[in-house]
Amino acid sequence: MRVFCSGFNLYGQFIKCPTLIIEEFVDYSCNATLFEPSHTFNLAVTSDGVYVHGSKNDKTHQVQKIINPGFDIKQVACFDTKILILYKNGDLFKCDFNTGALTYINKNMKKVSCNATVNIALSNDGSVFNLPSEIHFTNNGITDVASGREHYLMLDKIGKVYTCGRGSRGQLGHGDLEDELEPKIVEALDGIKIDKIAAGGWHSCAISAQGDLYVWGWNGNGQLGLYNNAKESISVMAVPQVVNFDDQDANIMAVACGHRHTIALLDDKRLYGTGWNRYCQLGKVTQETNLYRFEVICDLRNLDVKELKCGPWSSLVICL
Amino acid sequence: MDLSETLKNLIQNQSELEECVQNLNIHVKETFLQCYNSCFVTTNKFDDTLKLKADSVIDYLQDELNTGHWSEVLLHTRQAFTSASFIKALIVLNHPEENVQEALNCLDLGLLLGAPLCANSNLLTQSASLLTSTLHVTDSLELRIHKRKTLNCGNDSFENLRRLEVKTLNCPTLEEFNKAYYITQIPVKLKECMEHWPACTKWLDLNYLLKVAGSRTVPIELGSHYTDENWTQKLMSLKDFINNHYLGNADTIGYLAQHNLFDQISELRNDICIPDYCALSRNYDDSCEPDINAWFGPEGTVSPLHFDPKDNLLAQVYGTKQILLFSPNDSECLYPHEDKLLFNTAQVDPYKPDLERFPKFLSATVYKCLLEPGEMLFMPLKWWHHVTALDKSFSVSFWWK
Repeated sequence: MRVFCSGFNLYGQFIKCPTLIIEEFVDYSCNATLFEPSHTFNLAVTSDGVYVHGSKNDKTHQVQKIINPGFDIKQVACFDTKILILYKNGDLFKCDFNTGALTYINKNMKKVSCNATVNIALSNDGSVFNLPSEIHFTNNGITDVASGREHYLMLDKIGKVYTCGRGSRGQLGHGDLEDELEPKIVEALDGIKIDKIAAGGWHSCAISAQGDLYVWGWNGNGQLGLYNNAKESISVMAVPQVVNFDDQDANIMAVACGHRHTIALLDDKRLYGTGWNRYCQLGKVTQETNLYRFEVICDLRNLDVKELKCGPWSSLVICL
Repeated sequence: MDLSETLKNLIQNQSELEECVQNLNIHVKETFLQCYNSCFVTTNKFDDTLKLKADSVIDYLQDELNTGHWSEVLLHTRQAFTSASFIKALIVLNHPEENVQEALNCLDLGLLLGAPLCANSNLLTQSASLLTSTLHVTDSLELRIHKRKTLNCGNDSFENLRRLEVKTLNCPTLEEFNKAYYITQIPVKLKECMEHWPACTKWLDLNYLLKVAGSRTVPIELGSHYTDENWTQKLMSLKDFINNHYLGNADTIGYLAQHNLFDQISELRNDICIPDYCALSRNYDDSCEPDINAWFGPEGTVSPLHFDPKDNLLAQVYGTKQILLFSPNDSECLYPHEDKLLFNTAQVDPYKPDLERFPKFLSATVYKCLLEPGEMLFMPLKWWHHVTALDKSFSVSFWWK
């Protein structure tokens, strides 16, 4: 797998990068089939196991195998020292970070997403769990889930977005700062068919079928990139806003969020980023701590990008 | 002796600094301990790597502090932040490019977001005072005479309302105040109660404030008032606030509002006195120290119509404020916001009431009060109040139960 990465590397979690901060996007090829960043380590899955890359006993850049084998693993999710393993047969396990011991959670799962206080799992039949409980609400069949530190987003098959959890920074997009105990449709996006969703620490993103990027939530570090909308001073945006890119005709292909930054891939194969850059999570684009508008942070032409991912303070481009 | 050694001498209980990070993520804890050990155990090189490590611990904890509503953040997380802020300040002072101002900023962030430790309860306050005293204040401002401007609060639409004056007393006895106002929960203006405050003379000299607090970081509210959609809060040095928002012509109005400046900066705490009236309590088992907050800003700052859950004495150090009060019995006429966060704030603006939306406002009774330097206003709990600064103003509020 070919990965391009930038950002926080204090623990040597990107084992091939010697510096404690990766200052610009570097080509990071590895033999993993799956790669998942956490704050202090990365998980790399190969056919023979799950490996933790990071620090061990005071030494950085260490590799430690925690699960054996790995060929039957469909997805891994992690936050802090919490690790969730989803097997291809739909069985979901929690994995003890120190011992690698697996605890069975549920079966028939399709996707998991975990963060500080939420652990969301989507089953093959379209039901959703905030583990361990099932979330009961009427919908049109959920196809995707994404979790922020304390909130989560769900997308249904006709392109409607539902949000739930903490709303103190506008991250739910309902126009207020209230928490929601049950999923609630994002009305401002009603009538716009949404294709993709992503959640940052305290902000949220959605891409419409038209290729527009919508953002809402906390903008304390510029993670919404609304400067072009003359909203740079807004610290909280509680209603989804469409982002104006320099190229008006550009279509947004993919988006991913770190705790306080956002990266987006446009159809001209340029990667844009905005928000917090203290640990170069946006690469070399600026010396400032924060970037308040989307700017090109990496040129990905000639590459087949499969997916964007962010660690809390890092950015990754996963290529085919 | 260098500054970091002087700061270390202020530590009462060193092991507490280490113990309060016990519940952290194992790797972050490891990083913290490397920073801690570099200050106390080994004689490591103080370099950029060590600073990066300290930064990463602080930033990790900031992410944690931003999780959950502020009141729900765990005490140990806030104490860990206090400890990490102190360690970072030591590292900054030990760095080859020693930077006292940067170390002071770390301590202030620790004071603003952290929680006091138990055995080292004054560590950050004392350390920050010490660093402040080593910084030279270079620029000196001409002493401003706080002349009254006649700021127009808008047309006095509430003139149509039934109006009552807030009574004024000259330094009443505790018993007098208790019987006639405190027990009965009636607002009253008190004169001649703060003439002994050093603040009343000292704070008129901006150079004094700049000297004891100019380089300290304070939270500033930006925007006309807290219900405005463009309202936001920023951390800045008191000096920048004074130059840009207090004296300067910044586009947005800035207000150092509802900030406990006096726990942060002990020199200023010595300039004020807790009024004796704050010792009164309806419940003798449950009395405690009042919450003391500073309210410092240019003319035109506004606190929209709201109420507080505690009894309030607002002491006017200098400047004049116009205050409108409404009784809790009139709540219905003021249309409190329905959402949870703003339930204590009225939708109606008493200076520009939208009578079509808020017709009951006309049946409210307004108590009008002009609060001048040296005067205090007693606002009983749950009494609605709207506050406008008519000129440059410094007030201190005491909330007590």
